[in-house]
Amino acid sequence: MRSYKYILTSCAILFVLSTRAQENKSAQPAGSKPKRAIQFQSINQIGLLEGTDGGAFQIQTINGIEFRSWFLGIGVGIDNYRLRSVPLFVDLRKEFKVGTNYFFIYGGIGRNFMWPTNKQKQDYHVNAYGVSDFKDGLYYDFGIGYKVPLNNRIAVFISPGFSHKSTETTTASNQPVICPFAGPCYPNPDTYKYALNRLSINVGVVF
Amino acid sequence: MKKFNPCLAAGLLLTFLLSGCFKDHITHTYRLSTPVYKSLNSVRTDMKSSAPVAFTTTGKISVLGNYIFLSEVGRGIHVIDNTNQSSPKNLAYISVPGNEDIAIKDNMLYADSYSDLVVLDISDPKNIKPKKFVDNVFPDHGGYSATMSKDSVMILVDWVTKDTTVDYDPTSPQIYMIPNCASCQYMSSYVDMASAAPNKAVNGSMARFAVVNDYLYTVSYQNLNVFNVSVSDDPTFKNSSTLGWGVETIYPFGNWLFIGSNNGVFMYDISANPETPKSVGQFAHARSCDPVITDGTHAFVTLSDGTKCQGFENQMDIVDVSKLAYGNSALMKTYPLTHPLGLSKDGNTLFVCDGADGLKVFDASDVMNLKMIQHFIDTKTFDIVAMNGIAIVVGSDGIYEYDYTDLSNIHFLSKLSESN
Repeated sequence: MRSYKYILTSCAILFVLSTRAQENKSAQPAGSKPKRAIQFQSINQIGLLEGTDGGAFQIQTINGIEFRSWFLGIGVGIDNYRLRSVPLFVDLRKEFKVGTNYFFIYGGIGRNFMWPTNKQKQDYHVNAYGVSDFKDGLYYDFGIGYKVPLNNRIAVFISPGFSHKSTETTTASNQPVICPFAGPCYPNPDTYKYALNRLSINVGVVF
Repeated sequence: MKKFNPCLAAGLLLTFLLSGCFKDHITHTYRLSTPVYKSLNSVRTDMKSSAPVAFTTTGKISVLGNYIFLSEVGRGIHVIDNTNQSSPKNLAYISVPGNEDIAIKDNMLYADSYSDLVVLDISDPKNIKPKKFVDNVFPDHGGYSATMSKDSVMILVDWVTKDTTVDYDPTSPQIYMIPNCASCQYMSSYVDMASAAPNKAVNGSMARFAVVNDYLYTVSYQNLNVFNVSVSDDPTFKNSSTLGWGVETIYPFGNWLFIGSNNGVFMYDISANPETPKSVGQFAHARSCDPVITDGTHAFVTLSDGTKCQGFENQMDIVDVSKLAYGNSALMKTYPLTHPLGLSKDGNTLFVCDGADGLKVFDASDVMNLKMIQHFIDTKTFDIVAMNGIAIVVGSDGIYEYDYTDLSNIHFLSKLSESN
């Protein structure tokens, strides 16, 4: 599975960064940035989505507020797995300190806005044969992560997890496409529902 | 902060990686239809007045006096008491499987039932009964062998449908969602407004059946059929001629038949020999669905797009047919519309069913400058009969009636949508 290679590669990078952070410990203890009660935080990540349809990249930016070990933000991104879409979601995170670094868990939920490419539309016969465009659906993700502060402002992280997005297509209701006998034609109620469940491996920077 | 437990993290990670959750789950929901058959004899036994039923798929319309006969496409005919136009009543229902067209002469209603022509006695609308069956005269509607016994011929009378959802293989390289579109039927009928008499039935504008004097003219996909109905309860097949493909509607006016097809309007003269109509002209247009009516001077042709006709035009053409006797016809003007279907003209008032854009009423005193005087968007309109100040409109969800006795105050009268 290709994702294991990415995990190993990401772990190696994180290990190097972690070692470097340890070296800087005497100058600036990692994760020891002076904490205000509530402060803005921006999480920017790229990742691999691995599922039945193979691998695809995603990019996300999540911006919100950090309060003690909690983070709450709004995320938006581009998800190119099977059908390109733009997830918009609420993201909640909780950090646990591990020495000078952090372990965290996260979860997000929101709306998956479909933005398929023309090629994808063509492949799925959208706007032909009465097939409707893809409908927006649900988006959610959750997982764990490991964060390494580089200094008191910037940290990097890796986070494997689960990512889900859904969409559906139907045949256009105004097209009489089933004529079972000489007489009335009925709308074809064909509906395809896609629940796309992926392993996500993200790496990113927090500032 | 709490001390982090690496074992917990590793456990969670393993849970993620080893779980079988990372799979696409695709479902396909479609309609599963199971046919219901009856023997031909059984179908014919049931072909009589029964309790009214709700409208499902409204089709063509024929108006005789205070009664409206409305085809329930593919299934039967509704009988509606329209004595009180503000409150019409659904009176009865006749099961006629495979029905699409109707026409009336005297007290006999002619209806197709797949490949058969059925004659129904409607002298008592509450007690309608079959008088004659003419076998296999419309073979392109699903014919059967003449040597088969009526008990062995199985007739499709209904479909039992249910939506079914199955898993779809997400590893399939490509998901094709081409719907099952075999031979979508489109509905049509006609209006004989100009010669409407109080006791003469008037059809809607998209019919494929038309009665002129002692003859019943029917069109199928490519043929014009002639039946002698001088004895109204005993029609006899006389003649059939090939017109070309894509024939949709027939509209009689005086001694002419106007026949709408996918590619144009054919005009036939029936004055010399009504059993053998003679071609007198043709007006060609882009491929489209096209019911046609005429007032003798102008022909009004609505062109609409759609699955069956594969056309892209949505317009009304007005054609000069004043010199039709000399074989001349010419396009005068085209008006863009939304999705025009049936139409009707009473005096200088032109009614057009414009699909989802409702009913449009025009002042047609100057055909080069039609003026819309009223627009109703009550329903998706299909066909219309307008006479004696009342416009009866077949909508997708029932029958609508409008009063146009005062053209400055055309107003909604009633809607009949259930078995009330």
